[in-house]
Amino acid sequence: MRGRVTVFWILLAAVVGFGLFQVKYKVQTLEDDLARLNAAITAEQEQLHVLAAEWAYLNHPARLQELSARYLPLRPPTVDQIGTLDGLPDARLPANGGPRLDDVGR
Amino acid sequence: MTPKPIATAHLDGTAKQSLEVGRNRLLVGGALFAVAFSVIAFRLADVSVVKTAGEPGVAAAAQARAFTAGRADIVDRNGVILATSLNTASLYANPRHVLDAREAAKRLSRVLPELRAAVLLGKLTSGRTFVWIKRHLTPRQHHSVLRQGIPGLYFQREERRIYPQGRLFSHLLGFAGIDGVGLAGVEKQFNDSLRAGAKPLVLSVDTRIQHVLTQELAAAVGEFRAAGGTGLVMDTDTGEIIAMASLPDFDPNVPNRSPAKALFNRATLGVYEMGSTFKVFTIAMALDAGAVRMSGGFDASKPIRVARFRITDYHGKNRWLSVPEIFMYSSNIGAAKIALALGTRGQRDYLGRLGLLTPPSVEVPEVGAPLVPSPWRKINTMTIAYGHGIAVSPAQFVESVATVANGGIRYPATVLKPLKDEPAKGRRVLKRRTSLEIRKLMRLVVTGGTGRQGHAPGYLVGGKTGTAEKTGGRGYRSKALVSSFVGVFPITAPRYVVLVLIDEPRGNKRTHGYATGGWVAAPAVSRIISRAAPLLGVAPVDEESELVRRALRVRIPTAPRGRQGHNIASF
Repeated sequence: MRGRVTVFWILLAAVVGFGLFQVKYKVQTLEDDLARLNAAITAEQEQLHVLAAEWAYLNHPARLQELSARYLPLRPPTVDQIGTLDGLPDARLPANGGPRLDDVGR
Repeated sequence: MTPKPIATAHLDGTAKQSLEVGRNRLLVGGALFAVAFSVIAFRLADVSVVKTAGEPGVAAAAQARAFTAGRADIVDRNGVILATSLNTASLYANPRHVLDAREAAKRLSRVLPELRAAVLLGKLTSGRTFVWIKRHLTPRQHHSVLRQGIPGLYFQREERRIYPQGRLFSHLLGFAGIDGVGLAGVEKQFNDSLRAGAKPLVLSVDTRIQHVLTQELAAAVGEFRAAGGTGLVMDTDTGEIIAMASLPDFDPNVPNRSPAKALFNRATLGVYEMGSTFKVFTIAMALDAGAVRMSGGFDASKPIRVARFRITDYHGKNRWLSVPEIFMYSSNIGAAKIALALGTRGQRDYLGRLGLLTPPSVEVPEVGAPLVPSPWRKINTMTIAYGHGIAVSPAQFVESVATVANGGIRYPATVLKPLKDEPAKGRRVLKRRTSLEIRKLMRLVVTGGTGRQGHAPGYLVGGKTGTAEKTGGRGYRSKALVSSFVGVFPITAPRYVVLVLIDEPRGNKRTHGYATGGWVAAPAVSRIISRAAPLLGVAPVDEESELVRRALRVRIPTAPRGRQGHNIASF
C-alpha cells in the first residue's frame, strides 16, 4: 500500500514537471514571436513615418499647383462658379409656366 | 530453543534522568519546528490566497514600443506635416582601424564626391579614435558607402529635422540645429515640449492659405522690386494666425546657406510706422469715445502747422471733409483733427487697450516691441492719428484690426490651434456699434476710396490703404516707402483679416510710377482673398443685392451740419 502511494506521488511529480516545462517552452517561443512582431511593428512605424514625411513633401502646394497646371484643365474657381441651394430654380414643374429646369444655363 | 531474552533495562538513577531530559529537549525542539512551519504555512496562505499583490494574476505581454523619432512633429491645422524628425545614418571613422588610409580616402571621395580625398586622408591618418566623416547621409549614400566595405568606417544612427514644406513656413517654424535644439521660431519657443516627444504640436496655420499668401506676396515684391514684404491672414473671431509670411525667406532645412537678413521675421520682429492704415484706429476710438460722430467733419482745406512740422494731405481735397470722407480719401489733416478731438490721454488709453503699446503675445521668440513716443506730446498725438511716430509689428497691427472689425473684442494673436472645447477668450475694447460704423467706412475705401484695387468680387472686402515714409538718417525719406493694405472680409460679418505690407516698393509703368498702398498692396490682397476665400469656406454674395446695400449704407454729409443736404453712399 505504502509503495503504491509513493509510486503515485512520484508519477504525479514527473507529469506535472513535464507539463510545466512544456508550458515554459511554449511561453518562451510565444515571447520570442511577440518580440519579433514588436520589432516589426516599430520598423513599420518608422517606415510610415518616413512615408508621411515624403507624402508631405510631395504634396507641397507649389508642386501640386505646377503639376495641376501642366496636366489638368482645372483652374481656381471663380465667384460665379459657386452657388447656394437657394440659387437653384424649383425643380418641380410649375403649372403656370414659370422658370423650368430646362431654362437653367440659358 | 530458548526465546531470546528480551532486553529489558531497568534504568534508574542518573540514566533515567538523562533520558527524561533528552525527551523534553526533543519535545521543545519539535514544538519550535511546528511553530516555524505553521508560520510559513500561514504566510504562504496569506501571500498566495489572501493577498493579490505580488505576482500579477495575468502575465502582461511586452507591448510594442511606440515608435518615437525623438523630437515631436509640428503640423498645421489640418494635420499636414510642417516639421518632422527622421533617423539617418552618420558616417564616422576610427582611423586606428583603417588599414589602408590612402585607398580608403580615394574610394570614399568617389562615392561622396563633395568630400575631397586630401581632406579625408588627413582625417583618416589623424591617429585619433573618432572622426566624423559626414553626418546625415541619404539612404542612397549610406548604401553606397556600405558597398565599398572599407574597414574602420562606422555608422551612427542620428536624428535629423526635416521641413517638407521647405521655405513656406521658414520664419514661423524657425529651425533646429544639427543636435536637435530649436534655434528660432516655434522650434525654439516650444523646444522643451517638442523634445519631450509624444504628441505633435498643432499650429493654427493652413498650408494652402500660406501658399497663396506667400505666392502673391512674392509676386508683389518681385513686381515692385521691393526690399521685402510681409503678409498675414488672421481669423477675426479667435486671433488665430492662418498664414504668416515674411520675405525674403530661407530654407529651414539649410538655414546657414541664407544671408542673415533673410532670417529676419518682418511679421513679428519688424516694427513699422504703418501710415494711413492707422486711421482705422484713430476714427474707431474717436467714434467709440463719442468725440466725433459719423455725421461730423473737419475743415481740411489748409495744412496744419505745428512747430517745425507741416501736416498735409496726399490725396488732398482742400475743403471741409466729413468723417467718412476723411477716412475714404485718407486725409491726414482730418485724422489729426479727429485725434485732437479725442485728446492725447484718450488716444493712449485706446491704443493700450487695443494692444498696440506692448509686444504681442504671439508664440515665437522673435517679437519686436512697439516704438512708442516718450514723452507723448500733442504733435505725437497728431502724427499717430495717421500712423507716423509709432511703430508696431504687423502681427499686433492685424490683431488690433481684427478687434475693430469683429465687433470690438480683442483676441490675442496666436499661432496655436485652440483645443476644440476651449472657446477663445477675448476682452471687449470697443462698442459693437463702433465696429459696425468702421466696417462701413472700410467698405467705402474699397468701393470709392483709395483702396479700390483691393476689391475682390463677391467677398465684400473692406479695408484701408497705408503708405508711410521710412525714417532714415534724419527725418523721413520720401523715396523709401512702406506700402500696405489691410483688408477685412466679408465686411458684413467679418471672418478674416488680410494684411500685405511691401517694404520699399518702386513704382513701375503699370502703376504710373506710384508705389502707394492702394497701387502696390491692395491688388495683392484682392488676389489673396479671391483665391483663399473658397478654401476658407467663405461663400460669395451678390454685392448688388438690396440686403447688402442697406447693411452698408452710409450718410456722407457734404457740408457742415445745417448748411447743405446729404449724399447717400451705398455701394
